Amino acid sequence: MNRIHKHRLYYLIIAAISMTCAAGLILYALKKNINAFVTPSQLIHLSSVDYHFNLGGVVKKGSVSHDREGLGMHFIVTDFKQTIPVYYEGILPDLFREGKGVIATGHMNEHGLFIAETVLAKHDENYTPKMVQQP
Amino acid sequence: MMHLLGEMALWSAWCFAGLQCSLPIIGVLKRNPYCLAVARPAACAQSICVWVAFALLVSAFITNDFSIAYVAENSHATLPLFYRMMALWGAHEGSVLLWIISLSVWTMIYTYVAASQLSRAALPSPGGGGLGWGDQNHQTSNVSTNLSPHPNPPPPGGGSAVPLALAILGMISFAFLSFLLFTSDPFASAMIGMQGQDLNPLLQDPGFMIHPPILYVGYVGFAVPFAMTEAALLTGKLDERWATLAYRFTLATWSFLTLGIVLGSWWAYRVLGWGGFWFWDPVENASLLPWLAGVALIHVLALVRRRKVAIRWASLLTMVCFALSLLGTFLVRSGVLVSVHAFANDPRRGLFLLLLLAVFTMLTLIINWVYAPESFSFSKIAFPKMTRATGLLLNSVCLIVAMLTVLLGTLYPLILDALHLNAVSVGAPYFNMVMTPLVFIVMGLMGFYMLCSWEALTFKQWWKKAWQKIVVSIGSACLLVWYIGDSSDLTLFLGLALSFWAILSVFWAFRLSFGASVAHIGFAILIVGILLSSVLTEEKDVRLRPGLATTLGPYQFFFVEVVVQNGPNYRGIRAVFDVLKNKHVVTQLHPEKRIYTVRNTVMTKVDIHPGLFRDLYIALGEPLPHEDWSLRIYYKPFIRWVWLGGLLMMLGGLCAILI
Repeated sequence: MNRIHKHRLYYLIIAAISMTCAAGLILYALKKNINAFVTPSQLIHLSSVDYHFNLGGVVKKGSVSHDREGLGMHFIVTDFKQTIPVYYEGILPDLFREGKGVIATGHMNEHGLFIAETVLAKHDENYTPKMVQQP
Repeated sequence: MMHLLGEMALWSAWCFAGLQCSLPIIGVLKRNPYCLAVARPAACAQSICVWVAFALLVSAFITNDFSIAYVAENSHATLPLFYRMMALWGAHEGSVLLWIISLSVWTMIYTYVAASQLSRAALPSPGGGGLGWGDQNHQTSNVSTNLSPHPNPPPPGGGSAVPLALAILGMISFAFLSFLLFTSDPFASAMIGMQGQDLNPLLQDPGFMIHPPILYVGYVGFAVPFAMTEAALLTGKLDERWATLAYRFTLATWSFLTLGIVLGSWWAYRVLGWGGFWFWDPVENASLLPWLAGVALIHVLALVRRRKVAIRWASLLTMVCFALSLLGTFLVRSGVLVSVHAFANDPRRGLFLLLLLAVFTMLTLIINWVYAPESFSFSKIAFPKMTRATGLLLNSVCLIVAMLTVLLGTLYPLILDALHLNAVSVGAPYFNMVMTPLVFIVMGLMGFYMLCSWEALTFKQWWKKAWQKIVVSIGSACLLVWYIGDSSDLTLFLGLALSFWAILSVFWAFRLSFGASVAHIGFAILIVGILLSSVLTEEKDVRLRPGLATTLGPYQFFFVEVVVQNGPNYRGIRAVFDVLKNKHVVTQLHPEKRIYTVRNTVMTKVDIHPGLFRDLYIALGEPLPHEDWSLRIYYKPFIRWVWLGGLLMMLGGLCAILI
């Protein structure tokens, strides 16, 4: 093995190590920051619910109620089979309406209440999450 | 009537594009100068036809011609004239037409520049017989000299490269015109008696007037370096002239892309009401991908011009840039994403664009493989460690890695969805997490290699130039972090130190490369803006009724009243806020809530008091019981620096073309 070969080997080793590190970091970051879409029916069957996810469904008609003080509010997300109560504190998007599609990101608490951190109503007013079919 | 004329214009453009892409190739294969000569007139004719179609569609919007379905779907008699003129690019069909228009503009610029360059090149060569492109029988004369058996030196850069590049541009144009005509005809006639459904209210904003055209010009412009490079590969003329011209075109298109992205981010900040300037939305990523690859390409082309190395890498990057802009078009226009930008949901459209992307990429990869110039090794001789050449190469590697990580995060949910595995979304934290270290590495290297020159330095010589700058940048970053009072934030400290380091090291090179220095300073300012605004922003969601006040940062916001405010195509409510600082009124803000009557959509219109060092931002939420309103208030220091940095980058790019 002469000098040039040695150098080449070094470069290859360094490249391989840095690629592995980069791939590992990326996969780690991806794993930490992927939010799965879950419908209320799927949520009922889920055993562990203490992780972060996107709850997709339709806001049940007549279910939105505001707190007396502050910005807290309750509403119910449904896929026309199951329902999940949601609590959210903050400003709602413009397209949030009863009977329309919504995606809430957050987690379940121990009482079966979904605590939403962000609520998205999609910019298309006819949009409903793919998995939720209107009956 | 109008739609018939429009259809005719588009079909004749389609025919001319067909001529433009087929005949020059036949000309090359059969060595027929007349076929080669068709390229330029066909391109001009195609361009004229496309412009006619464009003008017809705009005039249909202005005259409220609702017999055209596209106009009826995106305009309304009550829509103000200002927005009617721009409603053309409010939805799918018009956007594709805009794509084609941008391509024809770039094609025309390319023919003009190539012509003037050829005529300049032809002048000093006495026996060449080339009268240049400015002349009537330009091509015939050029080619005939090339093919003549006499030992006359052929005019440099002439021959079949330019018609071939035009043929490739024609192919792209032909593909997109077919896409427009077969899947998304803008002139399709409407059902009788349609009333007009108004423009999407989110798009009724002055920022929308210029954002899409500029962005499209930036996107599509990558077609020119791409076509030039492929033509140069096929004719074996990857020479200095090619490098210079490709470098200038890449700079121009990249500058437009930068401006387009800046405008888009400014629009999102003002219209979407979330107070952010970048959401890592797939559509935003789609524009960032070619931008990152474009930066890499610019640096590699600079290297090619100077050192005549890394030619294959450069030619591959032109393909990557163009493929990414096609991918961006696919992501936005196929309807695979549901977001502000994507409305279409016709599976044929997605399939067509995907097929186009696959065919173009395969073809160019084959061309790159077969016709590539003599390969060279990344030897130590070509790239000593402490020279600018190495820096430029490293830069391109870092940026391509950054591009790939963004690409992965953007496509990951789509791939999972396509395989019916799982429906997921990749959040902004992923992108922030992987991009932050990459940006820091790039900035560190940027400062390091700006202090190197083209000749190799020893580390001692480098250190002599650098140590003061290192001390100053670390010192001032310490001072600033201490002043802000958030000494625990390592990311902030590192980012600031690296930004100062990048700015200080650039000043040394200011005279040598003005444009590059301005662009690099712009990048550093952008990073400073992102860091400071994300750390210092204060945000508050409150419930408030008129007569009450709330405090945020050093400011008091006093809710004065709510008044009714109606516009031409909306009803609305307008809140009045007095903003006070130390008991002095700073300004009055008027956030609004509008209901656009035709589509019956609610829109929040935020009000912003801008400043170089801070923005005040109020968005009106919804009415609550007891006359209360929910409100979102932001105090955003240094947010303007983000766009200021972007604008400086664009200016730097434009300067680098001229100087």
